[in-house]
Amino acid sequence: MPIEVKNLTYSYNIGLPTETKALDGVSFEAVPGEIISIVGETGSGKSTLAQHLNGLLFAQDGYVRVDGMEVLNGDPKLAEIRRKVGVVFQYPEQQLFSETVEKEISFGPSNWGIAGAELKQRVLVSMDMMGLPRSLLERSPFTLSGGQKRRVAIASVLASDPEYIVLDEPTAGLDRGGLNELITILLSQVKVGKCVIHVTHDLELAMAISTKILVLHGGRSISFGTPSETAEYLCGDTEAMPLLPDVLKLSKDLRNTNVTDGLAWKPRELAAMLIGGR
Amino acid sequence: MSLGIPLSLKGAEFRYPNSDINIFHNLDLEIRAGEWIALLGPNGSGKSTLLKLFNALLIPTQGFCFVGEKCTSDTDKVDDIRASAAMVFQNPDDQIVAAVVEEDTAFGPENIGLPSEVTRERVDAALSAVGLSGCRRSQVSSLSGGQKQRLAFAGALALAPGALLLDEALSMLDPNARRNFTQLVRKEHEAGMTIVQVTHRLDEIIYSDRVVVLDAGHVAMDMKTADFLLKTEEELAKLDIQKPPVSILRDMLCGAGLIPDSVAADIDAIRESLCR
Repeated sequence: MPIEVKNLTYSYNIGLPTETKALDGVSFEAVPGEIISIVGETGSGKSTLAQHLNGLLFAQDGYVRVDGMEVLNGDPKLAEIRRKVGVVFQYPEQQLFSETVEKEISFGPSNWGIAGAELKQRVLVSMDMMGLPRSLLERSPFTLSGGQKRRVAIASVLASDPEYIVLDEPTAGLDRGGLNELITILLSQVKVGKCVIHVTHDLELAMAISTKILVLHGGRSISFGTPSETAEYLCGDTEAMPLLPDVLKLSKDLRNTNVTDGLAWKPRELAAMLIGGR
Repeated sequence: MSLGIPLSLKGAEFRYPNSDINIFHNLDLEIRAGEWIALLGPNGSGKSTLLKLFNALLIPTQGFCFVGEKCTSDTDKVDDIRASAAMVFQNPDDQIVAAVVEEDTAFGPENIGLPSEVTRERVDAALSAVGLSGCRRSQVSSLSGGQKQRLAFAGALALAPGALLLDEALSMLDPNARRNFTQLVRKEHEAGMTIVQVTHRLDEIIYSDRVVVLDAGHVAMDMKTADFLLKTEEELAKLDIQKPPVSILRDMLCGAGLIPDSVAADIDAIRESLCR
């Protein structure tokens, strides 16, 4: 069963002079076993869309359905939807509130009735997955570095074992090791049948790890397809030009001037194309 | 426009309250006036803590931190120090305090007691520098994330600081906004301002003068940026740093003899060399 988003429309500050349409008829579908990346410029509506997926915001027009259940304000099924869809916010410090790392990571699963040895086990497994040493169990999450806070925020969502994991800009502020660990974890979650929805402005990363990519521009979905389809689309659309990563941008220019005849977004692929065509 | 100021740590030690872990131990670091330093290192290595020492948000538990001629342990000078070394954080919401764009930009100058005429001039110049003059009366809540980051930058510029401390200030921006923001920083640096920039992305540091890599609170490496960028992917991986894709491409094309070694890791330079 998927997450279905159909013609989703949402405006902030309705009726005020500052009314802003953040989402305008956005549609896409995410099924288990996929990593979907939502990319777009700053202000394109990515975070607003992510907040609709577990009922932090509600559709003003169109709908969001999770496993057939529509996300509606006050609906009794909202708790079940929130259990299925775990969200890691853009700024992890906004998500942390407990006295210790252990209490922070326990909060979600204990809310769903998990207790005792299973709860402890879930906390430790999530910490191991995120590379958090057990010496941090009793530390206040507020004393951790930015990167460590992000790891705790992600661990606290993984501990609830949601079916859909939504991450809003999860890699910003992570070092190389943290980034690689996170990607490995996301891919392993997908392998066991979870669906990962990953909000990012890093198209390069999105193209490297995603099954499909949704591109937003000014609150509209302008493309939804595989990384190759997305690369082709973006190279032909001037609106999306600012999003192009350097290597893809160079590849587009080289194809346009007949230096190469294909498109590549990975440096080694473009180098191979150029070295092979010598 | 104020001239850049030097920053330094002399035998600095820092430990957070109620912690028995020293973040820094006997740390010495000299940053010259007008220098642009890229501060790299893994999560938890002390990068953000170091910036907070230069902004007097934190004070060394032993040793000294100097901002220009002022020692941050001198509590009478804290306001001056914070105006001299202005910080821009990763999350602009952490430092935006007013509801309207120009009011937020004016907050710093008003707070240090500048006359309203000077404040107005500073606000005009800062908003113009970041390209937000057109929305000076706008509600902050109507700005996009990239615009909010530019507003946070304007708030720092309005203090006419001698040093800018950027704590992953570009990490939430899309590639285009990041390029534009980098150009803003470059302009301030060319005008003489000292820049200390914490980042994980090497594509943000290409205009910096010097790279300092922190590891577990000590300086693991300190060298010119131009030399640092010549390091191989493997050498950088040992420092937990990812080489930018365009640098990887450049190295491979140089290695295959398709472009000369003199070509920079920049797509325009590579394109020009390949199409020549």
